[in-house]
Amino acid sequence: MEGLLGGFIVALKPMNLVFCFGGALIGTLIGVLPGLGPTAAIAMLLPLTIGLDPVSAIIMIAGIYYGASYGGSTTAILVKIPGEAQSVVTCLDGYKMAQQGRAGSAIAIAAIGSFVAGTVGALAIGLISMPLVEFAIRFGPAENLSLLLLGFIVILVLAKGNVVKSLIMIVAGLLLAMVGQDVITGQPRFTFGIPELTDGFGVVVVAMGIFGLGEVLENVEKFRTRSMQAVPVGSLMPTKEDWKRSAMPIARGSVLGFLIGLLPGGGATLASFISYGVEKKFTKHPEEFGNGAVEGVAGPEAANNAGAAGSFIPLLALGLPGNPVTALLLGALIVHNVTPGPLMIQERPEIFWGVVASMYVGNVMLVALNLPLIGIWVQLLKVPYRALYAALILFMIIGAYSLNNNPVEVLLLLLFGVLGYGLRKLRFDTAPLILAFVLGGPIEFNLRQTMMLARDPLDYLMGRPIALTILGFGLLLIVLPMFSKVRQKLMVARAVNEL
Amino acid sequence: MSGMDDAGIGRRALLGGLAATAGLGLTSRAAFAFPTQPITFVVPYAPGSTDQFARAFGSEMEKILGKTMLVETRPGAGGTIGANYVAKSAKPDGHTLLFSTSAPLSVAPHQNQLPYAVSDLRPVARVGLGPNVMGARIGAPFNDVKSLVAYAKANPEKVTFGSAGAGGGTHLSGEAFALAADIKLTHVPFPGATPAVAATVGGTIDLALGFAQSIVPQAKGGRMVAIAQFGKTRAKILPDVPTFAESGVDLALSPLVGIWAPKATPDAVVQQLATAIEKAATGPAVVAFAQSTMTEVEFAGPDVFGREIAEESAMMKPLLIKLGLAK
Amino acid sequence: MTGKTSSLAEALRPRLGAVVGIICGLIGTFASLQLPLGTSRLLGPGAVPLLLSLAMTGLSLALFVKPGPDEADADEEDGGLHGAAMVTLVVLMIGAFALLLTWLGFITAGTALMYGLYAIGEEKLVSAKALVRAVLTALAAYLLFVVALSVNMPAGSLWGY
Repeated sequence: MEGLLGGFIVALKPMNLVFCFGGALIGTLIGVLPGLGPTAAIAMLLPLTIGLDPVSAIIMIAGIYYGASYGGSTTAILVKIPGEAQSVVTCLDGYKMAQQGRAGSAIAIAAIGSFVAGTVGALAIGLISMPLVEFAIRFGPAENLSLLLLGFIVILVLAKGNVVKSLIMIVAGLLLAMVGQDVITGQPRFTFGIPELTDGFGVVVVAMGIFGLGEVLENVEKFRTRSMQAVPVGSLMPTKEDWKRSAMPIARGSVLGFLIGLLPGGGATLASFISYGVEKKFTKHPEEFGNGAVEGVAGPEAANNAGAAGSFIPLLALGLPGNPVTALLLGALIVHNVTPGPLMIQERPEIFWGVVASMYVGNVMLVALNLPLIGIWVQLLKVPYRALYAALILFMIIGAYSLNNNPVEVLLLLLFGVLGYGLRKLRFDTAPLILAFVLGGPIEFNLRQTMMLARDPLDYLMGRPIALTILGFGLLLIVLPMFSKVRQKLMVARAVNEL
Repeated sequence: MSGMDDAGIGRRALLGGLAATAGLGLTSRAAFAFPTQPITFVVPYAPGSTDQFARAFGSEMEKILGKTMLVETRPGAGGTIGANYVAKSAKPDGHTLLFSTSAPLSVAPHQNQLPYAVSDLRPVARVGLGPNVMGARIGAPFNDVKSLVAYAKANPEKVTFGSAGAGGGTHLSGEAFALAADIKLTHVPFPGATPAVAATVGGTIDLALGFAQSIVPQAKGGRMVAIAQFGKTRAKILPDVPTFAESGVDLALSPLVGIWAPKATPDAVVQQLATAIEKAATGPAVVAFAQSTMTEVEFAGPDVFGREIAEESAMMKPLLIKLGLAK
Repeated sequence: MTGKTSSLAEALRPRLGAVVGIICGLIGTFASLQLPLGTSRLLGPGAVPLLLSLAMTGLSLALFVKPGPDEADADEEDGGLHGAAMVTLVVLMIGAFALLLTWLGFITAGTALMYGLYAIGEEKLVSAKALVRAVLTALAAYLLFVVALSVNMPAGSLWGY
């Protein structure tokens, strides 16, 4: 508690408040630009922070991270362009809501959900990060694999329509994830001698191409047949009904996201998937999922923000970053002559507590910054699509190019755009493909690592209670709804009998 | 609109200023004009580590050469995409340089068909020497090299070691150790050094290899045991960790970090760069970087560096063939 | 749903996807077989891709045999020949942009692409409005991304950089 108080004293210094606000603002702006996600934002702005003292620098970078993560969901909702992997799920229902004239409401729910989750996350980091990290660090390949399989069950759960078609999309996504150098042996796979394919496809290019560019191409096709009337802007604020339906998903998403985020095999993206699946299971309106269900925005948005907070724990407590963003933060700490490691909390407590407090302050600022901005963002929808689409394409191209400073990325974006367009024409649901693509690499990797470490896989699994528990939970996710349906029928039957 | 105009003028004025300083350089040096424009370090890895090293050098060299130093990352394919860019697409005038580990020149050429030849890049200077460290998990049945070798001899393939990726420096170092000590280890690759270290801290695997920067803080915090460093002699910044040679295993492998220029770069330019780099290596930004990242900054000129790469390449080839990783 | 073409399309559509899937599955199977499969403990790089490719082939075959009922969103209208031409144009322009970017540089290539896209939006070949918009968009993007955010867009080898 004392530490947290000290942290607030550090974070609330006027200079640090300015850096926190600056970071959140720049981050939001960059996040809103398609293709430039948190990693790109931090990498680009890292040199700017070099002159600052370490605490201010980290506070500013954390602000950029939050801002960029949040800005990414705005484009996901408005124009179906996920700025990064963690807002892929937001595209599903957020974009549909925007199409129905509920863009303002979707963005507001996303902002509030993120705020609540960020607050829960900051508190949890401050209070219980040591015991949590002891738990998280025990996650080996077997545990990661079970967690990823859980994510996979969720994809199956959320797939809609023809089962065979969904399965084909899942397998296609997994196959796409195999392209590139095999991480275990270094052998190139499915690269057909093209050097640029050695590192595989980037998540951003795949998601932006299939969702974003695919959508743009489909709209281009309908320039003449569909009256390209701008989407109605509708009300800016969520309705009472929206609030009521979002409250529980936000609460669940916050807790779930935080727990998944702090695990080495987890992270914000997986957190958002799992939350989506869980909400689809809990909701009273499962038929609305994929057609603009507010729970499908609230839960995952809370989960990915809580996940982002959770992923700070291994970095802050042990100096072990779990994802590219925290790895960049580690780099930032090093630039500022802080040696990250298990001793950092003792040696430089002001950094740990400063970050925790600034997370909270940053979240307050983000909400204060973004709620008024909603009015401006939704104005974007008033721009005639025939003009807007050109700018969208340019932004996506720049985003793709900036990933590796290589025009080949633009060609890949185009390739996936055409693929997404084609699949939609053939009436395939592209969401399972992207989700499977995101999970594919880690699943194969952890499967093979587990097999390497286990002399007898079954025996090995029996000795890993955490992995078993997660797998059990996955099974529950499948079995529970069947059970509750049976119970509902029984209740109805009893009620009828009593009459 | 006025904002755009301002930016345009600012840029032009800046260019004019650059041209003026370039003119001054010409008269005072008389021989040739270098540098005439900003110098770019191409780092062939994702931002996070090597580019920070390059930035530290850049900020010192800016003071020496009087030109802006830029750092551009062109990651991909184990560093060969960035290396290929400098080898094939950069003008050989010393303004575009490769700042990288030696892997794209000493390891990658044996593994894959590359679009560039090793001779397309000429060494300018070696600036860093690792050091790499091997760390063991807490509670492992060994706590130094001797007991590790004895345990691994008694239990072949039971000891697992994590690397930062198959075919990369840490994997090859681990295999080189196993070869030198005549033991059998089980290799478990990870996507990067940090996940391997995390798995060792969590007790999933027995050993992790990586830069001192990722292992030593864990050892200091009591979550790992640093059992050996890979250099010939103990690094200045790591006086407490024994070398393999001291522990009775004949092995010395220092990951080289250095700077290259395109093949056709004039000798005089390379010499001028090397002089500037040597001076930068003792500058405050580089020293501070070395301190906080536990990097051994050691300058060596073009000739020494060239020889070291050739030696490393000659050592890696049979190892890669033995591991089935050669092309 | 207008006339014959779309009813033909309705008949072909589900099977077309299946055929593409079968081809991809077979290519994948062939490519995976070139890679070592390894053992159950040390799974080789080809093992998982092979399994997936076989699954792809099998599932696509199943889809080919029994395409099943079409999805509910079949009510969407097609853009017809005109729409297809528009999409092709846009795709070709983005492709050309990617190929010419390093040579022309971002400002030139970007302006050209924007002109093309705006012209398509207006459905006019020559349009002063589109040109003005294109120049402004490309410049704004240049200032925002290259100058302010220091994204490394190429300046263009054509101009001697």
